[in-house]
Amino acid sequence: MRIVPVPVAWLFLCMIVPRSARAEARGSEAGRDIYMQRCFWCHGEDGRGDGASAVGMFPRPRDFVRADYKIRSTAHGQLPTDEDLFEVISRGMPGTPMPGWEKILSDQERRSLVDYLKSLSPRFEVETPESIRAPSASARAAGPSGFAASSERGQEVYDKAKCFLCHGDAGRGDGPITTTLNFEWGLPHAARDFTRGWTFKGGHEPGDIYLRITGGLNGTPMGPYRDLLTDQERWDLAYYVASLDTEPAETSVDFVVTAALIDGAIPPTPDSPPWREADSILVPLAGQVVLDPPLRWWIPTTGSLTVRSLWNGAEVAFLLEWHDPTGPEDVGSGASAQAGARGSFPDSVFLQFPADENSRPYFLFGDSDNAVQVWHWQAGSAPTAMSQDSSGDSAESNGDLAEGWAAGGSDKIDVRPARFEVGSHWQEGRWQVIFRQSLAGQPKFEPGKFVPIVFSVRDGANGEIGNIRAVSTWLYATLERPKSARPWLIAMAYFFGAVIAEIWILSRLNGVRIDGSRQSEPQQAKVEVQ
Amino acid sequence: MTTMFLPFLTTLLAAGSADEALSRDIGTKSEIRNPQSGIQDLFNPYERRKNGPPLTNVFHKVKSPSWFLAKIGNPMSHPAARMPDLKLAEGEVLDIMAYLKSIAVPDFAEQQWPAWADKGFEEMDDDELDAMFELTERGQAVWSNARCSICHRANGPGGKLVGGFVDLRVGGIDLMGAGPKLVRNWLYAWIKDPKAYFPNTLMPRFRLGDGDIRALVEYLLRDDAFRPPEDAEPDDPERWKVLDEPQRITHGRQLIELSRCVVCHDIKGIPEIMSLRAPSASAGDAPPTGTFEFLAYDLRCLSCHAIDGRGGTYAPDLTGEGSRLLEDWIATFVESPDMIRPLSQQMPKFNLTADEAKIIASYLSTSRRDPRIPESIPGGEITEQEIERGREIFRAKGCFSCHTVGDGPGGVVGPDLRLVAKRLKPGAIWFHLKNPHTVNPYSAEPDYGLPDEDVRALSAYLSTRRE
Repeated sequence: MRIVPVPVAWLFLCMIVPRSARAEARGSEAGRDIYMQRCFWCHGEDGRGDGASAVGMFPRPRDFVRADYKIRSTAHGQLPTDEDLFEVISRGMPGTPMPGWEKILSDQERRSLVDYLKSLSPRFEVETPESIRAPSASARAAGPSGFAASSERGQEVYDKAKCFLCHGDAGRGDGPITTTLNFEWGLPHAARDFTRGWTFKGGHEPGDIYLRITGGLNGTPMGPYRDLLTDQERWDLAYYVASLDTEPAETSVDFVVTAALIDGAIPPTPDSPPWREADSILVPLAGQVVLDPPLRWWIPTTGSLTVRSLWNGAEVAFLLEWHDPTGPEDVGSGASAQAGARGSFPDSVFLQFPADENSRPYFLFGDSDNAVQVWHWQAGSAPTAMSQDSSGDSAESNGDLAEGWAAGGSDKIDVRPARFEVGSHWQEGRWQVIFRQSLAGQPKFEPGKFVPIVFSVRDGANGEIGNIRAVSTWLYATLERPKSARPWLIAMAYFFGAVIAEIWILSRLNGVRIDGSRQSEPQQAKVEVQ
Repeated sequence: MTTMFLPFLTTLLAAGSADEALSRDIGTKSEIRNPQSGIQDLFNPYERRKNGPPLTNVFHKVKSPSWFLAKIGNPMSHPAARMPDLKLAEGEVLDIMAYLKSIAVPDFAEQQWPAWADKGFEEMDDDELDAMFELTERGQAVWSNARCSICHRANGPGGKLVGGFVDLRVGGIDLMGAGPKLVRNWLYAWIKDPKAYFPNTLMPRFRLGDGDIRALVEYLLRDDAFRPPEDAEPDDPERWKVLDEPQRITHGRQLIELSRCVVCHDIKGIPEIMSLRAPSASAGDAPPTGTFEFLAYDLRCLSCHAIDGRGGTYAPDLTGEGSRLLEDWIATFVESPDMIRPLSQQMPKFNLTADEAKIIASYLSTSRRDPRIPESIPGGEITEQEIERGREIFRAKGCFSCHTVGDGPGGVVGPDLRLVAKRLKPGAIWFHLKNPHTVNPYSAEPDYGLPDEDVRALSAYLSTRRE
């Protein structure tokens, strides 16, 4: 049994408590000092997860007193091991505000923090967690071909274990349980989107995923599967889930959206080859301070979107894709729903360009000196699949709204009819929206010219309406230069032109014949040309 | 040192001012939000731990196992259902049914029923038919008095609610198939006290007597409004023998665990996976009787009304209602609700005692006040001339096209104002007329932007409308 020092009994205890326990108590004291420097801002002075910065955080910081730890290598409902706590402190929690402290705190300091955290809950004194770490991890040694086979078997386990109920058929976290339920505090049960490995709080290696499957995440609908699936099944499932993590491989963060030049019409559906072959870039989105209603919107549900762009000499088009578990179902009782409260509003996406392409106005609706134009698309109540023909009237047919805004600050917005065309499609937790505009319209897109562009997304299910949204910074859009033979022909022309000119000049010089020493040069030049 | 900290302090202060707005965004939990100090949190059925009903005794609720086969096999067949499609084969559904059947308690709320209770129409003799029809007629009266159709959709005339229930995510509960589906004993116990079966239900306990409950049960089980257009074929009892096979029970238990049914349902024998402690007010423990907190818990006031941003949106928000309504009127109204807005639904009659009605009236009048609303019309005593001028403004502005005052022609779009002075405090009438959109931003009533003396005159006139 371990003993927690009580100040009054401290001296007395020092005499009878074994050395190791005293060392641990000292460690927790040192840990306390570090905690009060580094951790209390978010986790609170008493460790209840209620620090000053906790207000805008989702997920909320861990309450160390309640000790419902999620990232563990122990059985469901149990406490984490010291090593688990140490790893999380060192590595941080990807996808959350919790940073890794590996490079800031020494090994010793992090160990003493572990001791301090444990001293905050009496459970650590009485409970002994049981490790579920796989002893040999046989599947890990299976080699690349083994991974593929394992992941293939894992897909069957995914169905058998009903993972799709929360994580969705495509793994985008859009399963029916996750989208309809709130837990006790009115916060959503957001199941993990498996396509974004970088948001897996406990790491996205198959070994990490195996531990989450086996032991579950305490306090969430993600229960343990240790008794429901065999060890092999859980490894297979872990490999399958790891294989769904495709976002970093497919996309890269960049500041320039380059429209690929294609022949023929721009395809109206995103699954056609030109769109699939176009490079996509990942645009990170973030919340911001909102004036009306006055609040700080730190918790938008859309963390990023991907953009592809095409042009064909007559039109330019942007394909925006982002994940939204609820999609068109967000549309509901708009009048009774409250802005900023979890309610029902339609989803929206915005593309913003400066009116004067050489300026970069304020990133949301510009400012009084620098006007912007905005392309706005809003989901209708029942978006249908994108129409196969390119007539472009799908926006009207499914109740979608498309409009162009001219704005000079968020209080000066002039809504005009759209001069662009939009098609939208939502399936399995993903919106795909294509904007298309003639090159004759505004803004003027030209090869080699960089037009500033800002993206923003509103998720209605998250109560996002008005200025409450996830927004990007300024990026640039440009058109790929035509891959014509002209540059080559010009280069060739210059080359041959230069040669001919040289011959001409040299032959003229030869004709002058000032002295003998110059006679040899033109002859050499002639040889080179031949 | 101080200068170093200053920027940080300002950030902290700014964070504090945004706290309130954000806590509204983030959650509805009492720990996060900070309601008016000193007022206890009321039971809010929308903050429930689990969305679905407990399944332990569901085999005592449903008459025919084939209903389970349809429901579990294809949950989305019900338009308002939130239960996901579990993608199960028929054999697997049978396994789940076998487990649910195995956990039902053997003795469940038995009642004595007349001998003809289980007979069909054609098997009854004339006396039995008379007794039955007398009972169903009474049941129909109970149904309409209790305003059951606010929440329930049925298949008959007058039973279809347009526009959905309190919260679109909840959906009206479809009673189209209640007749053939429900077990008599269960239905009796349910109406008597719904939360005894499902602690977090949205349904209030209507204080109905034994006779009324029996009449309502008979009406629900017999009337065509609660039957599908075509009756299903009678079940073959032989078919359900498989539900007693032990290996089905074991496999069913495993399927229930894999499908994580316990996220939404309490099921005996299935371990909980969410170890969170329940929050205080909505935990399901009854508050002490004789308090408003108990009545809010028992009548589920927050299923329809909201207070401090918690609760439903179907009925008026009660947050500041104590400053608007006269205490006597509240007591009379909740005891026997009357029509206020002719085109809207009327509040159900809960059969409250006079004492209970007084508890509600005094709670709202003392604890739910809006500091912006004055007690009486500001600006001193009201004169006869002002009342007369108010009458003229009422006519001149065309108020009568929506409201009835019992003084010339009147409309039915807005509330009936014949007795408005018995309902609203004069100060509240004045505050409302200053700008109707302060009270309800979505109000259809235009904001005429009346000058102060007109507002005073109109309020003066309306506060004379008491008979």
